[in-house]
Amino acid sequence: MRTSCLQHPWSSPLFSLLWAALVAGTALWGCKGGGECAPDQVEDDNGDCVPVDDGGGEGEDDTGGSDDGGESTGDEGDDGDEGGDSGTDSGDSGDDGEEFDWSSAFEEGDPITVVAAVADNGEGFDLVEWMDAEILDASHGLVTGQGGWGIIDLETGATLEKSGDERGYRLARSGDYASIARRTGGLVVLDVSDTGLPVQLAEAKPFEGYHEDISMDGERILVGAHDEGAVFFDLELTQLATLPVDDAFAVGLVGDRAVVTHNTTLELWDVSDLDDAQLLDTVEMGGEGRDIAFDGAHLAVGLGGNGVGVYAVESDDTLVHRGDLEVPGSAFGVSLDGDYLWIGAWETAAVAWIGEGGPGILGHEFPAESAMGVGAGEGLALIADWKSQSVFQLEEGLAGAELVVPDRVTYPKGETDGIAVRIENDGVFDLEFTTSAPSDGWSWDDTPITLAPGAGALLVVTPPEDGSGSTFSIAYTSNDPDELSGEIEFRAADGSVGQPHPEFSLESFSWPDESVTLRGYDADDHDAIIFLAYFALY
Amino acid sequence: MADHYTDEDNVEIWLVNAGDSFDDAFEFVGESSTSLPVLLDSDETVYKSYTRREGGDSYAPFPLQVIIDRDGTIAYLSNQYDAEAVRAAIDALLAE
Repeated sequence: MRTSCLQHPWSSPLFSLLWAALVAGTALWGCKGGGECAPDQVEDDNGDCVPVDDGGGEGEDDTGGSDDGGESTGDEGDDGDEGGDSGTDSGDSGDDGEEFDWSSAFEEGDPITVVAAVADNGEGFDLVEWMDAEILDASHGLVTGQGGWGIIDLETGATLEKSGDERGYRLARSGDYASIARRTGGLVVLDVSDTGLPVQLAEAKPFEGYHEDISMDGERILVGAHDEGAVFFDLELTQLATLPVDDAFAVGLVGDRAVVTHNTTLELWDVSDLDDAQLLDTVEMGGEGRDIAFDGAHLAVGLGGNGVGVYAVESDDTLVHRGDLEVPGSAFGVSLDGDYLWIGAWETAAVAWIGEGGPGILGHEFPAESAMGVGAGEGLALIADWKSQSVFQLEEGLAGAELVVPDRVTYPKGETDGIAVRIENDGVFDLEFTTSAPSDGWSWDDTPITLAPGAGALLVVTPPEDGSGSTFSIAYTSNDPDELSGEIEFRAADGSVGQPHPEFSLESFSWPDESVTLRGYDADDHDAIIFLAYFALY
Repeated sequence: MADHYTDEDNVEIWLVNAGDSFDDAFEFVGESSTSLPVLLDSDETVYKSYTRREGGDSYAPFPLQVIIDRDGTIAYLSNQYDAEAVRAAIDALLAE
């Protein structure tokens, strides 16, 4: 998986967090592994901050000065690894210290086959921007997003039907019914007994605030509604009861057990009597819960940039943390298909094993666009893929090494210090990684690298000493089943810290005045400090 | 953040929307009732001018915060919103 550590809060929920933070001055989540470290450090697999300038594998936060881009040196790459190969760090086999022999349970191979990856926008449907998905049967999937909801043909990936234009956020399905939480747009219930042609049964806006995650079991619907709590509804959207959870967000409901997240806390509830629900257990997670996949015995919580937390509900009604799964991107969506867990993480879709010996990532696959949510079942995964939709097939019993390496590294023009690129193995088998030989004045250690599952290494690449480096690519090979070869492109660029800001002129408004004027930036005519806070809604 | 620098003439805070329509941006900004100037970088021309070492260009890493100093130099560029870091960077520039 060629990738990079990107934060993607321009999805509605995460962007709203940014907005809230911008207004309230609250610190946000960090890119996985990078949030707790200093600006020029990254977190290794032991949780330690290491002084490297990551070329792309981890989060970063350049806090001014002239340190932007490629300041790491070969010396830094050698830190803590005397005699080692390019700063390799060891893998983590889990939190229980017991080694699981993955090769006894899985053959080496690519566990994901792409069935379809389709961009339907422009094919007769207006704005889609799918956020979540559910498998309805082997033929049809249901998606929701900015463009209401749609039915996807799982063989071709085509959108068969689309209805509504209210922004859907999360989707749940139980038997013949499905329900959609639309954030500020309330709730919708669909009859999906005809999986190719759902019928809307109910629509309501119980709260003025946000309706976040949604889950359903039988005729009961559970909604995470922030300070309104976790709220139960029936299929007519009549409010039944409320779990008193502050800032309820992600929810899961199976039988007489419900799980709810608020911030970084996960709660297990006995909801056999809705008038007298009982809190059974509480655990702290490694990040804020965004989505829950729950089958009554196991649950996985998408933690945004902090990966996925996997838990078990024990017979004594306690929550037991079984481990965390790291994925590139931000884990927005999770969905269970038996012992297989699918993860939608914006730039990555992943399948993991959470059965005996798990959890462990079996493999990644690129979504067509951006995996905002995922629905799994029937051995398939439907990716709510923003303006596209992707359908993946699980290949049971296969797993592999999983290469995570950036496909592009930009660095300040004229840079001559080493640029450290982090290479990780997110899979369950050893990763073999080999680069081409240095050339064109660029230098790096081309010794083949072997990484155990969960391990990472730094490849320190030094541009030409005369500062003439511009665009350059390093070819590599690996034993990742779907990443047998690839390239890391290095591109010199301006627009970084210490460089002049480009001049511009843009249309501008100031709410509530609807008039639009031009607002420009010209360094020669501007002597104030300007803070540009970017945001996007889509 | 904006309130903190209300009385500071040497600091301007501009919100920059990347890629959305005026209507969508106006509606969204209205929900928070902020009167800060909102610039519409509809085709993301300015946004795409920044160096992002994370790699990849089909999707940019949001959030993005940029501080331009009085000389027109990029003094701060971050993909994670850290109010304290932003304020520290602005305050450091003010102290220069």
